[in-house]
Amino acid sequence: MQNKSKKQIGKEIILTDEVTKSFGKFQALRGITSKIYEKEVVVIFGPSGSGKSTFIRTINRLEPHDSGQIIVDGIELNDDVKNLQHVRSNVGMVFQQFNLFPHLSVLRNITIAPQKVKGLKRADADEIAMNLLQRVGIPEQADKFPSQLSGGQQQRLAIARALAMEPKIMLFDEPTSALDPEMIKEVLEVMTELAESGMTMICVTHEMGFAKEVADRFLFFDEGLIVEEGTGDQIFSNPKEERTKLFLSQIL
Amino acid sequence: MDLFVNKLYIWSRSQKNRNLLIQFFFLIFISLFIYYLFTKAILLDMTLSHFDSRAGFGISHTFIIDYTSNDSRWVSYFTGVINTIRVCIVAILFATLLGTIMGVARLSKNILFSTISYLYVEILRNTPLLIQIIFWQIIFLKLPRISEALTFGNTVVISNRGILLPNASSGDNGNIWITIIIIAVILSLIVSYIINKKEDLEGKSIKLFNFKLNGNLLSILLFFTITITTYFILQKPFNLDLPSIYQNDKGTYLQSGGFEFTPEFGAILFALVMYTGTFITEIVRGSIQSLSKGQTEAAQALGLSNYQIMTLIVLPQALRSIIPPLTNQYLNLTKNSSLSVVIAYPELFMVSRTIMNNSGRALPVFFLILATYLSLSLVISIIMNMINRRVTRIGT
Amino acid sequence: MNNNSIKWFFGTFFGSVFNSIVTILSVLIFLFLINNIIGFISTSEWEVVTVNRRLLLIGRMPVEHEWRIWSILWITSFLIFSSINSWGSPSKRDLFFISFISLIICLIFTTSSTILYVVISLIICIVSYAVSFFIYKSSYQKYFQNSLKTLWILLLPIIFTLLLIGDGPSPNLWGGFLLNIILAFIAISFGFPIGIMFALGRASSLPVIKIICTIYIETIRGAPLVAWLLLAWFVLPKFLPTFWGLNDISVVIRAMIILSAFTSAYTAEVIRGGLQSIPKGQIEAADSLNLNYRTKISLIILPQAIRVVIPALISTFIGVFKDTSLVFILALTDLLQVGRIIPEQDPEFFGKALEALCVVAFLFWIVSISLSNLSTKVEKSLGIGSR
Repeated sequence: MQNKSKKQIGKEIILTDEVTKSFGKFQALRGITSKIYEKEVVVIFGPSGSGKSTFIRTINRLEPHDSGQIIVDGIELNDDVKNLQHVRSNVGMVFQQFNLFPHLSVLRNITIAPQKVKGLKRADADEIAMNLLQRVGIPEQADKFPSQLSGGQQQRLAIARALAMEPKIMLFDEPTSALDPEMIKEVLEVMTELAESGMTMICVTHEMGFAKEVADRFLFFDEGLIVEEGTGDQIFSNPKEERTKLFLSQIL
Repeated sequence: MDLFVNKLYIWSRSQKNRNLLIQFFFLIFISLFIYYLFTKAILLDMTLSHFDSRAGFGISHTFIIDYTSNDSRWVSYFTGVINTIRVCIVAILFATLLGTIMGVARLSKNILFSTISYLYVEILRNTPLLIQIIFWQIIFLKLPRISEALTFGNTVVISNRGILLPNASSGDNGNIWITIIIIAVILSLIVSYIINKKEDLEGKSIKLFNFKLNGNLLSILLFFTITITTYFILQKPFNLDLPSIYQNDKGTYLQSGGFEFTPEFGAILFALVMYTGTFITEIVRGSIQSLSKGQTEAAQALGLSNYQIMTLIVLPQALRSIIPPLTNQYLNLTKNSSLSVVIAYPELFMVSRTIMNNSGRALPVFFLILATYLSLSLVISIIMNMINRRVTRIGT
Repeated sequence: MNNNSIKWFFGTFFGSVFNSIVTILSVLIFLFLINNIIGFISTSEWEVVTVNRRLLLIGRMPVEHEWRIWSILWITSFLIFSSINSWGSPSKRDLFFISFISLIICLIFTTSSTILYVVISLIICIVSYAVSFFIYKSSYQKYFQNSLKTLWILLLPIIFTLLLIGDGPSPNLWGGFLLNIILAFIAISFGFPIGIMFALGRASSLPVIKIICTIYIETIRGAPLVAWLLLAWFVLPKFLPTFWGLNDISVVIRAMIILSAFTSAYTAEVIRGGLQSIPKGQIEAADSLNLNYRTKISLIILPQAIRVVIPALISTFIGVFKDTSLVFILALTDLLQVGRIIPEQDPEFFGKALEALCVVAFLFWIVSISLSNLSTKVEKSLGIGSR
């Protein structure tokens, strides 16, 4: 808790204004308005189907939003392809199912994007990749293939792969939900280190222990709306809304 | 006596022994069956000795072998086999090409394109191949008569007797030119490899006067430059054999020259390609679709372009699940080529049938047919297995 | 609205250079095809089909035996139309499709002499559909379903009885579309259970049985169907026992034997794939419950194996139906043969080969596409193949 007060929260980096999104008849997001600041760690939680994953997927436009505005790092997200490329190069994403490329080696999984998108030399890309593997703790796995790694190692690899593009923002969509309990800790450690290094992070997660340690702000989603938001102390000790109290009583 | 029964009882309780007993009875049963077949078969002449005698029938398509009706039946059979191989290789190539294009089209966002693919598959897959063969035969026969044949300025002759395309035969410096072509191919492959490797190691592509050099494009350009310039330098390395129509003294129209593409060959080729193409389309489509959506999402999140996602992530993975069902389709195509008996394209089945009708000894000929088709299937399976192993060997 | 749709239009069709080329090519192909089709339809004369309806549908069956065909048609349409509504209600699209098809078939094949029978058939279809619709809502649903199931199983023997009792026409006279359907029906009815047996044999751990089954399956799959049919023509009579006059059986029966064997081999392969996909845990659970081999196979393993491969199975069956057209090599006059021979031999219809072929192709296509739609429905309802 003490670390957080030393961190400098920067200027606004993501703005969402009355964002809605429907899938057929089902309305997943009913008007999300929120601001996220640089170096901030925001944790989104709530019951399933509340629109948490949909929301963070609209930020890098894996799901195009139906109405409202999303501005990431000063660029508005719309149909414009150039804008999209810009945004995606600044936003990294880690998935619940890892989504590693099984036909590429561990090292190649990390280097493929910097090489093909940023045009780095093979040698430079390899160096960056090895540093990242070191950072997430699996440097010795460089020449293996994702299928040969454990779940926790795979997700750490996925984090390294996203970091290789040097994004300003990292999105985490329930990164530990598909992991066995004994492997959750190693992934959370990497995420904690990332947060302490000053990365802007938005995490959808159920790991409340980790969240309380690391998050600057919490957003509680329910039925497509932000029901309540606040710091850890505010939300957990003094939840204002009934629904927040109900949900917290169920998970804590 | 009691001891014996006891021992037998214990022996029969063991699962292993029971299995042995079952198999023993099966063996007896099968042996009896085979014995019965044997007694019947003895009455037939089971040798292929009649194959050594004169065939006595003509074959309309001869390729490589110069067959006449005076040759032995073995020669006629081999001519048939060659015809089968000929149509199968060409059909496999084109069917794969068509199937891949249509498979990708089916997933395209361009509605026109994907509808064409959808209609193609739904209509041609559910119509029997035999009907399609006859259809193409009728179409070919509806081409203009030879006296009014289509010739696009003396280059091709299209009539209901077939299509004649220009052929090339080796001229003065023909051999030299062919060698140069081969060298040019190797050179362009090397250049392409070098440029791609450099691009990989050095990062964003090599620039020449601020223009990005694409390795593949460059090597193709190189190939054509070499071949065309040497063509002019060598002065007529090959003779163009243009097809033409003429009338003989009786006034009948005849055609000569060029490379002949008969209606029969055309019909069976088109039918096989279109029919098998539908199955290949479904295989390709299923393969690409079965890739988990997460792969494309992860690639998109990393900022890879659509083209890059297709070539680096989707296709390499899809290729793995394509090869086994594709092999199956190739085997089906090979066996389906036997249907050309209905339009008198003399591939191996039709030749065998003629022999059977002429000589009356069906069973040994049938074994020969069986052996031939099995060998063809084996060859195709082995080749595809080698390709499969290379593709599933992980790595970029 | 206008701006957006224009943008969408250009984006989808002309978004990139590649896309534009593809669009232009597709349009050209469409125009070419439509042009030719319209040209064909406007200059075609369909007498070749309408005059020879009877030949196309039932071959050279003598007129005095026609009542058998009508009764078969009535029973079958009753079964089909009752079954549509007994296993879940069909969507509007399916209903439209079915009525459209029935209408076309009626139009093509109604003549003045048979109009009464056709009307009776239509009445039967509508009545059976209505009956099943009402029963679906009521409590007799289960009984109705079970009786329908029994009827379906008994359909084959019923058809044969109707065709053969009272000194029916010899099988050699069966022809036309009737022949294709009967051949397919028999091949599937016999080939399916035999295929299951061989699949189980091939998956068995007893080497002798496994080898025998593998040899059977691979040999049959190694040669094309026409070759096997030719074998039936030349060789089969010599190998059949001479008592009971068995070695003189009609060509149609020989074709049925070969087709069944062929179907069994391909079915065995498909089911083998299904068997392989069953998790080992299932067999282990069955063993730990001390189920004997027969129960284990019939109640636990086979249902799961078959359920998984139903799409591939139905696809194989559609293939068998299409392959029935290959009996031309035995000089049997199935639908395709009739359609080919008429324009060739009847001077009145020279040059009308394409019209006849179109109708023949249409009939085959209808059956195949209905079966494959059925397969998609079954897939969806069983939830196979979903991610």
